Amino acid sequence: MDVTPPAEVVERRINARQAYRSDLKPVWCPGCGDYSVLTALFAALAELQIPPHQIALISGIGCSSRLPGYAATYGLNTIHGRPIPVATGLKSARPDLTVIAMAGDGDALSIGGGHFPHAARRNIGMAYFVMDNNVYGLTKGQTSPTTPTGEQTATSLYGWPEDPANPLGLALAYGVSFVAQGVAGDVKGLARLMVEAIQWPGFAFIEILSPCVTWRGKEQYDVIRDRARPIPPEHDVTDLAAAFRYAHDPEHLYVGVHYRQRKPTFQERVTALQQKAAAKGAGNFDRYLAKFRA
Amino acid sequence: MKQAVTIGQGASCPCVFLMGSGGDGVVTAGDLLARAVANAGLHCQMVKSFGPQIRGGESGVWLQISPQPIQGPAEQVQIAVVLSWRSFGPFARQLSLAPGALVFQDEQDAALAPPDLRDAGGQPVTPRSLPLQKLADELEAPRSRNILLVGFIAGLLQLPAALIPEVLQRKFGKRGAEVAATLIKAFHRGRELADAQARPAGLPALAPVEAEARLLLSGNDAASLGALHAGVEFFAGYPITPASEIMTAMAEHLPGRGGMMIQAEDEISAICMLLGASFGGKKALTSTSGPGLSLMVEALGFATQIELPCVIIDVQRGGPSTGMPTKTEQSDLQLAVYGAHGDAPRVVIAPENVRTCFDATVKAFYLAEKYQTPVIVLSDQQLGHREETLPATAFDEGHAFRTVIARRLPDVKPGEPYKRFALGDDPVSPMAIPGMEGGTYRTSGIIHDEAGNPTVSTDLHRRMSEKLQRKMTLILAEMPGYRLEGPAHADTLLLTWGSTAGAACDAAARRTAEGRPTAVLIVELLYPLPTEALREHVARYRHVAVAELTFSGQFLRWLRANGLALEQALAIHRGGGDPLTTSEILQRMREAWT
Amino acid sequence: MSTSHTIDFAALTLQDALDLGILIEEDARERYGEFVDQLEAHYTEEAAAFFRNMVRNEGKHRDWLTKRRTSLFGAAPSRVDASMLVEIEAPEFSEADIFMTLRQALDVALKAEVRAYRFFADALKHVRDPQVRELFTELRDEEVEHQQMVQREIDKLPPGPEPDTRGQADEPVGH
Ligand SMILES: Cc1ncc(C[n+]2csc(CCOP(=O)(O)OP(=O)(O)O)c2C)c(N)n1
Ligand code: SF4
Repeated sequence: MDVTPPAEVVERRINARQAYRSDLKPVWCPGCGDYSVLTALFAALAELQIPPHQIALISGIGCSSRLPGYAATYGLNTIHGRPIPVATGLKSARPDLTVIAMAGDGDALSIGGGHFPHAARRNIGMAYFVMDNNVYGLTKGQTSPTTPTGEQTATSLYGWPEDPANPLGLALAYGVSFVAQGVAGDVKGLARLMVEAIQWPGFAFIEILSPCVTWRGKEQYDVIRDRARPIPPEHDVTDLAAAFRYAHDPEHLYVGVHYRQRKPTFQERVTALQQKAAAKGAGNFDRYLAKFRA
Repeated sequence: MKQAVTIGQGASCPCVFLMGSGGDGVVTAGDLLARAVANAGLHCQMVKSFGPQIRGGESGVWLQISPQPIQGPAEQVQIAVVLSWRSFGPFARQLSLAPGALVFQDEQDAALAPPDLRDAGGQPVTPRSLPLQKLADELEAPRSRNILLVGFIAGLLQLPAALIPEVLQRKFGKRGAEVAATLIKAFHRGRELADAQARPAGLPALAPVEAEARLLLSGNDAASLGALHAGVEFFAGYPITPASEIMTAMAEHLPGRGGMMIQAEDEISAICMLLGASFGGKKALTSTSGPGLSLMVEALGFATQIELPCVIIDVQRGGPSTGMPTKTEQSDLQLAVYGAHGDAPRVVIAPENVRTCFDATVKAFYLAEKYQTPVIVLSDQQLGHREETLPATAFDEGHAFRTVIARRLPDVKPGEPYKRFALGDDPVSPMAIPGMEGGTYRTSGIIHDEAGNPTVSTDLHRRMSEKLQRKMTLILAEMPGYRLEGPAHADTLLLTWGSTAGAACDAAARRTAEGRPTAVLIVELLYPLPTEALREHVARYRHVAVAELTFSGQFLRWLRANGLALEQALAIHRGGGDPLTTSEILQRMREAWT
Repeated sequence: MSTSHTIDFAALTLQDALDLGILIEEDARERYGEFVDQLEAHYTEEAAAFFRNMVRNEGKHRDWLTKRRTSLFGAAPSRVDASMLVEIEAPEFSEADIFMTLRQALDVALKAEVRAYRFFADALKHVRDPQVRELFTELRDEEVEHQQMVQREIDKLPPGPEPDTRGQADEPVGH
């Protein structure tokens, strides 16, 4: 528990906002869930006291992916679906940095869905925040891989005939070492999850239910509010089977950490093999050249 | 009984062809011979060809040997050894036998010899039988036919006997002294077999030269060496023929120097990983071939837009689609120069032989870092896979392009605004890397302002486009981007690029010798194209030909798209997946300009 | 949708109560500030101006409480977990709306003030410490004043239902 007197807490919060906010104002629609994700992120970074220049936010393309532009850190709003590989390259080349990848549901599960299992396998030490609004926001309200069956959208005028993906279930199946669900609007709760995810040694995924007020309407907040439940405190976060049950609960959206299991990170493994290779003298230009002596 | 023969009309160097099925070890035989030739101070070029089987299919090796450096691809074969007629089929069309060529077979296989074997002049050729399997069995080493073959060829070519056992020792020594001794015995038995044959006349003497040490390596090896020299720190790639050797080399060498190789889940991921690493300040490389480059196109445009350095080596193969993975073509040119939405300049450079695969790679890193741009190196299967002898000093100072630079970092101070994409006289704006205090910036593929923030300003769109384009102008001011070879009084110019350069140079030399002085202009920089210089050159010649290995004439069309007046030019191009040969080019010139 | 807060009001001391109050006010101030940004970026100036006003008000309350806390307890370590406080006086993120009218903005503030009133009123049922009772009563009554102030602003508006102008707005822009 924070024992800092509130005067100081307030000052720190104000300073942190100052330090982490870029001078760009968000273009999101007022009421968009992504605003609160940004606020939660500032709160989390402030709590962790990571200097902004040690942080890189890497996103794809979408409304949600505009987020890095609003933080005074290093940031890349990359191309649609590719935040994971860009962040993977960055984090593996620069393990000293705090790297956070972020994406929308279309980014993360449709066009970029193929990268997700591989990030899980590699267990790259980065957080991955998916702002799931069940719709394509930026391109004007088409269905996304998480749009509920039967919904009417710009591309499902007579109802969506496909089943939605279950992002938490996929993450668990892929072997992601930290899996959590948060809701936009609950800034404090979300910030708490973010703090944990950013500190997690390995790949940490948070599915963030972040309403799109423009294409899904304000009601999306109500739908989430009605279905959201905190994950019971007695849930054993290393119990994969239980985590699957919470992820696939037909009624409730469980908020909190679903699964957490320490595994060797990519960096840990790479460091070991780098030492092995160095001991063998690999990488030396002259020795490599000598191999081609006829 | 010895019988004198004359083969190869005016061939400057002998070409040997060995073929068998995978288990026959002809590739190993070729490799041993190449090393022996190299150690004799001679030059050699080795091209391997395989059937479609994953393993154990038919394989063939072409080995050109010469006292002089070799430029063009092998043409007619003077000596051919076929260990398995059963699997000869796929090579029947590829193999062009010089008039008077000697063809050998294992006597046990003689019954399967094609009845209608003919040389390039249409004369029937009768294969001569050698008791290879019989001798191998006698040596109680039934699988040593290929070593017998090495001895046989070494004997025919009168290579110094001492060279091979040393190579054998090095290659097989670790399997035990006994194995090595048996193989050395096999080698000598092979030589004795050759003694019983007449040394074919018409071949230049291959007396060993007092030799400097030599290297034997492929274009992919040279590119890997170049990357290490340039200071590559990060590699991400996806396996693809014929580029995978570079990836393997990086997997071996990067971790030892604190870097790493990541096998990505696909090429989109690979290029994106490069961009991440490069954003982090590291020198990043990938290697791929046409299908992979196709997948990288979107990210390449992004790299151009956010001005991130990275190097992509495209070892081209026959296209379109999966095309011919083990054959060569220069048909990714169009994709490399045009493959982008929007106006997204990138640098495209091409090596012309095994040695310049090193130079092009080092240069690619140099240009990428200096101009903050993606650079594509267009190699191809022919360059990537063929092995050549090179002097041991080939990559030393004064012999190769070796300039290595580090990224230009800005002078940032905490609290002071930093403009990542500052618009000024210099289109290259210093780039901060994460971790630098005062250097934080955000950017995206969206048109951005000087700070990196998205904008819808049409004026900025124009000015940022200019910034990207002006970098290309600076590159042209810095390097010629082409090479001219040939007599000063030439009235004919042969324009070419990449791996076709070798055959073009040979063809020009022969054309010159015929009394038609011909020069060759080899374009190294395909984007930005040194258009002005090319225009001046083209204007000086009475005849101009453009030679390339594409079905549709992509290079010619690229030159014309850049405004070169080549309406009258002789267009030499075709599909097929084998390199253009010297005689093909020569023949076309003879026909066009009698 | 916020994760529930469980505060043991019976155990609350005056210092805790002040600390709670400060953080509640700061949360509200910050949230209104965000609304200002959101609406300014969308040229919804009237509502933005009202929220800007709220930023000032909440800031004043925060400072007033901070002053009392400092004079009574100095920099004594706090026992209040800031993360327990969610949406007590701050309007919910979801309340911001594009093309928001002044009336809608006032409604949002009114709702938040009612929520804050209920928080203190409910808390008072459990509070034992007399000084805390005094403070919370004060804060509760202040919320009533705020409600009245907002209500007065609403009353100043032309009567009748708000015309729904949303249908007249342009389609959102696709990217
Ligand atoms: C290769 C490519 N295809 C399509 C697009 C157009 N596009 C931009 S964002 C987007 C989907 C956005 O949805 P989501 O990822 O869920 O993010 P949101 O906007 O909802 O936050 C699409 C299809 C693109 N930018 N690039
Ligand atoms: S369209 Fe939807 S997701 Fe995009 S900014 Fe607006 S509310 Fe947010």
